[in-house]
Amino acid sequence: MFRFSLRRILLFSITLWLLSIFTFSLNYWYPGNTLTNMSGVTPAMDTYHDEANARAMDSTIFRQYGQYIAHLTRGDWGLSLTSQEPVFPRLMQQLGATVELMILGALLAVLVGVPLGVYAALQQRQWQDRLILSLSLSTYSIPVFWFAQLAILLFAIQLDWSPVTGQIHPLYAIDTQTGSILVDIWLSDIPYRASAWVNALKHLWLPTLVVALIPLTMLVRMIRSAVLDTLQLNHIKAARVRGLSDRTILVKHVLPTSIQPVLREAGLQFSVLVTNIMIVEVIFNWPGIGSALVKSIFERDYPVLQGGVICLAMLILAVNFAVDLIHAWRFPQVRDVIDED
Amino acid sequence: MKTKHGIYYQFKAPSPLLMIWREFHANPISVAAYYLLAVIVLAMLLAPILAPYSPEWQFTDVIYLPPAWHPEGEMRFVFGTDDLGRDILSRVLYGAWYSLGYPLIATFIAAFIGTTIGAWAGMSRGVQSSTLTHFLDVVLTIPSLLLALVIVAIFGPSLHTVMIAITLVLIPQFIHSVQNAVYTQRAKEYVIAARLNGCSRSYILRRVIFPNITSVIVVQLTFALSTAILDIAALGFLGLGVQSPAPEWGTMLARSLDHMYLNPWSMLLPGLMLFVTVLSINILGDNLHRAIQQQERLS
Repeated sequence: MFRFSLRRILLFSITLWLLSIFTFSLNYWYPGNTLTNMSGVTPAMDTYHDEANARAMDSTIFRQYGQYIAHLTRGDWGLSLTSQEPVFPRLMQQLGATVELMILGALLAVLVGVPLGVYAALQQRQWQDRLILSLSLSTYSIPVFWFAQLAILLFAIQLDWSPVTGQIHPLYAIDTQTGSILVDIWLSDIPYRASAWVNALKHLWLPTLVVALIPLTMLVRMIRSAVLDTLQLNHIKAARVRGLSDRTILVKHVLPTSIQPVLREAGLQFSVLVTNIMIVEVIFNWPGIGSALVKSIFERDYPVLQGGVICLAMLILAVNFAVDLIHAWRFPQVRDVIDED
Repeated sequence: MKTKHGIYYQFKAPSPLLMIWREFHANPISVAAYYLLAVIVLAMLLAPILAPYSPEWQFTDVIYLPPAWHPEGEMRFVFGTDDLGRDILSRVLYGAWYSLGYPLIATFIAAFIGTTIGAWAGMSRGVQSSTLTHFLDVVLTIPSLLLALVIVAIFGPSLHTVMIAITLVLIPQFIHSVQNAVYTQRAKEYVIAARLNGCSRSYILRRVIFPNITSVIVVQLTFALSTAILDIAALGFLGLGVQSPAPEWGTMLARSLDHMYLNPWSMLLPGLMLFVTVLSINILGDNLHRAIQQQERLS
């Protein structure tokens, strides 16, 4: 495990390094002034020359890269070209909003997807199984933006169960601290906290549902095939011969084994989730990184764009890294396979 | 299988692709998906003949018209008109060029480039191969939409940019799957036999291994195609893809989002077409994949 972790940590740092080189060179590829793209300081500002010196713009490209990394790690991610605010604190708040949606969506996908998948596997070739499978294949093909529109049309406009966009009703006047609305309400000391929570949840459930749908259906399919494979294994037959009840076999023997192939694909699922979140945030006007990213492309606000790309890519890489470690820690047989190649 | 060639009976093993096709053809759902996709492609090709009007013609007297089955609808506009009085059916038919035709082109270009690199990587061994594998693993975890967004930010939103972005984003998937397929085939006995016979590397790759991995490439093609369609539509929806007067399905959906209260009907047909196209491609890919697994189990 130590050897494996070391290899993974090395790989993870190399990836981060490549990512930093990529985002660094992006500043030269975007149209316009490189220093402005990097720091948000325009030539019209008084600080332009100081900034150029601080970032070693008249020196070699290696010095420039060194200064770029120094600024990044210091949390100085430049100024937004539209609002002239520092990018980093704003991005951290948006990250909070995105991560909130992400965690809730993933939670919903796991809580509904795993039982459904197991159920479908146990009912193999029955009508319940066929129904779940065909439903999951068709929901898997729905474009997420169309589904979001249909959901808004049905739940928000026709049934009026939920507001159309936003995080919370502006009248509640919650100060943004972490960006995650539920945490922010908890941190704030307003007297009407419970009603604010109810209002926030009303805004929250529809985007969560839309975000979770596609990962959920993929999870159902993966769990189903993993459980079916596991049921064929010898140790399950042995447990059955020993007379254990179906329930014990399922919970103690089948599920732990079938998690393994699903966990391997978890990274891919996570990137599907992130893609959906980026689109859903734009539709529901959710103040997260995805909507900030899309808006920054429209406004040619390159410091914000760069920050958003770094944040999302780092988040994805970190989650993959964590999943890899958990996977290898929980299932030792995986370590050797990965070590071999 | 016996086929008659001339006067002699000759035993001829069907090619892997043909065997999978037979397996695939036995399933009615996959056949239905296949024909559905064929109809959509045909409708795309015949759009200039089938479409009743020009996609950009504005009928200013009938704005926000609901579909024909609605009491307020008119028979001349079967699926109604949008906010500028353009016929939605014509727009969707012409839009298939952008939402299906261009993804098809992007997928084929990406498949060509990716298969070439993947085959080369699969045939080589050692450091360069393992570095590429690790690098690809990382690139594949980054969502394709995020990469496409970055590329659009560099070159500015237009049809060309979107095509470049989608093609570039699809290439790693092909490299990955082809490399893995070549790698597994290379260790098999028939390849070793060919090598012992003194065949050159390029001959082994083209004539020995390649026929056995075509099925993998076909499945990867269907997955890449559905990704390409959804990504182009998503970029169009975000306003960063094909630009506005062009009747791209994602762009049409984005426009209908603004008028959802006034005319919810205008989002019906583009979204439905997108859904049906992607669904039939996914069913196709899924069943092809299953047929391949079935073949592997039998052999």
